[in-house]
Amino acid sequence: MLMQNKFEDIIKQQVGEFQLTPNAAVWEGIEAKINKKKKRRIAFWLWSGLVGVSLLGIGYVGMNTKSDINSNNVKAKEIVKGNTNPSDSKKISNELSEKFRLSTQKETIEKALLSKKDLSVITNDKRINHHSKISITVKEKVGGNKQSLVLNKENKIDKEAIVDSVKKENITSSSSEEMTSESKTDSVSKKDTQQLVVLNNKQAEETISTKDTIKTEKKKVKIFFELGVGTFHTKATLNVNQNSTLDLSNATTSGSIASNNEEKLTANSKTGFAFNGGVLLQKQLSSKWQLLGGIRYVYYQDKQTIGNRYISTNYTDDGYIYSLGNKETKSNYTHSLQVPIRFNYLVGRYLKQDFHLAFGGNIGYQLKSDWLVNESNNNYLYYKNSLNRNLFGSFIIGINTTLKNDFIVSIEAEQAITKLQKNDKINGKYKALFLKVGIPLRK
Amino acid sequence: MVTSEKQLIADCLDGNHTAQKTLYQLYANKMLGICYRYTKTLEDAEDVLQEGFIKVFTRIHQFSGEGNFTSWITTIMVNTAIDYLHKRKKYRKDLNLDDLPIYMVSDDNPDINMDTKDLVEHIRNLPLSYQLVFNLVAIEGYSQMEVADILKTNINTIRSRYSRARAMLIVEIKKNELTQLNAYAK
Repeated sequence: MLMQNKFEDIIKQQVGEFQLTPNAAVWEGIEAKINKKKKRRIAFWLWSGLVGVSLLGIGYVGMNTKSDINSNNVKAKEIVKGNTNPSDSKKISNELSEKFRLSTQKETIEKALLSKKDLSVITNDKRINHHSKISITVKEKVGGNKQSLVLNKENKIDKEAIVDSVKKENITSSSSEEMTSESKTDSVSKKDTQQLVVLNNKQAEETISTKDTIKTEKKKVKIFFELGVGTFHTKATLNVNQNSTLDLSNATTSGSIASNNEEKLTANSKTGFAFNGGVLLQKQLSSKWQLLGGIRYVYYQDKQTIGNRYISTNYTDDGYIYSLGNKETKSNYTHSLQVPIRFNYLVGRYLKQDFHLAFGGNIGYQLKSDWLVNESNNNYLYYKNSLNRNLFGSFIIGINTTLKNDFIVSIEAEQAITKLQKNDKINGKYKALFLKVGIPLRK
Repeated sequence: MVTSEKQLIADCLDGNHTAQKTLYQLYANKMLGICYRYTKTLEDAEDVLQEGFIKVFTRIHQFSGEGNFTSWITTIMVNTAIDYLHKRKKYRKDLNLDDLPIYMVSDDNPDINMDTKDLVEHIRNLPLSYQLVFNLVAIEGYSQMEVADILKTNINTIRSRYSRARAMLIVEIKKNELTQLNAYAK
């Protein structure tokens, strides 16, 4: 064994000192990769933060909404227990209106109304009229007269108006449909002082707008599942060296390369398709403004016609050199996870629908696979399939409307503000047009 | 460890670009010598060196500071080389090469009168599975049991590969001596 070690010792001693000088490109490669990793780390933390903030936001809103409902239920129970004296009609009316103001949950309303022996809920649900106001139909248990309670868009019944109408000793409606000012004035009759108030839309709206004594309430947040399909188009330009060796003089056909080889090449891809799906939260900021935010996944795909592979000794390490004769179609695709932010502004009412102008943007992170024309170090033009991961941003403008069942239909145009690739030579941003449907998950 | 080296490592930990380059310049030649022994081409060796240094810079916080930094960086290079060979399709088959016939050698411990570069080339000319085991055992100083563990191979296979590698190398060294003598005689 000792003898055997002698051979190993000599080898170890001699070979252990062996050294070679590496090519300078090795350090350049190390440097580039370290910097890339640093950027990736920053992007990772940025993205994680973004997702974290979104999730916290969703959680916060969700918890707040839940606690509102719970507190309303408690209040309703308190009303049931505490107010049975008919002489406290004004107080009871106020308490009930407060309850209505805070929630339109049917069961909560029902509990409150059933404590009044003379009233009960008869409609199965609430209705939303053409002014986006909610009407709830109740009837007297004795006599069976029907009444409509009209809440405004923010579920408010004006306290002052209630007091007024209690003083007038009841205003009732004979109709379970939305009230009009004419029908209201026609349907005044004497009833028990505990009867609730009927407001027509106009009256409620005017009262609310003129009385600043009304307490502000927490706005309700609606949650939507959003699905969309659309078209997608990319136009990329490449700044090339004038000495590029690929002859582009015959490149006049659609698809790959048009223009000339002097300064700029244009690669037009065929219009592709895109779809998206995600969850959006909608908050009513005022009577005209809504804020929407959430998270969504988007997939974009298009096809690009490029020349066939050119078999040459000038094959580059970066990709394939293509001739422009025969063509080949390649697919580009992008997976993207985005945080959309939208503002909706109520522009008006047409064809019995409220229309909103939507504007905002998307930020996110995307994984892309693109076939794009590129230029190698030795001035060869080639198509390169590159897989990129990068931060993404786009802005949108569109129009949307809310249907009777709370579904939202929208059309949105999207323009990317980030480049296709992190490449100084390639300039290209995509455009997309989406038709989307928002399905309410919770109203 | 020398204080200046400690400082250099500390600066690398802070992501100091100049310190990283200095560290690279300090160890690159020696480490390329190691990578070269494990691979079949210089390009592969440089690839391993590059991957290895990226690992060094991204994992430098794992270095305790107490041990020998050269040993730590050498271990990273050796592990990177092993991973590199296993990942490359062209080498995968060679790594699982069935044992070749054993060589009989008259002198088990010959003197080596050979240029270092030539000696390294002879090691590199061994079949890849033998080259790997010989490097790990004879030069890096791992026990055969440790090598079996590293390469996830049976200990008997490692023993067999090592003794065959050793014998093949001795034969090559003898051949070389003979060629030199013949040349001298002429």
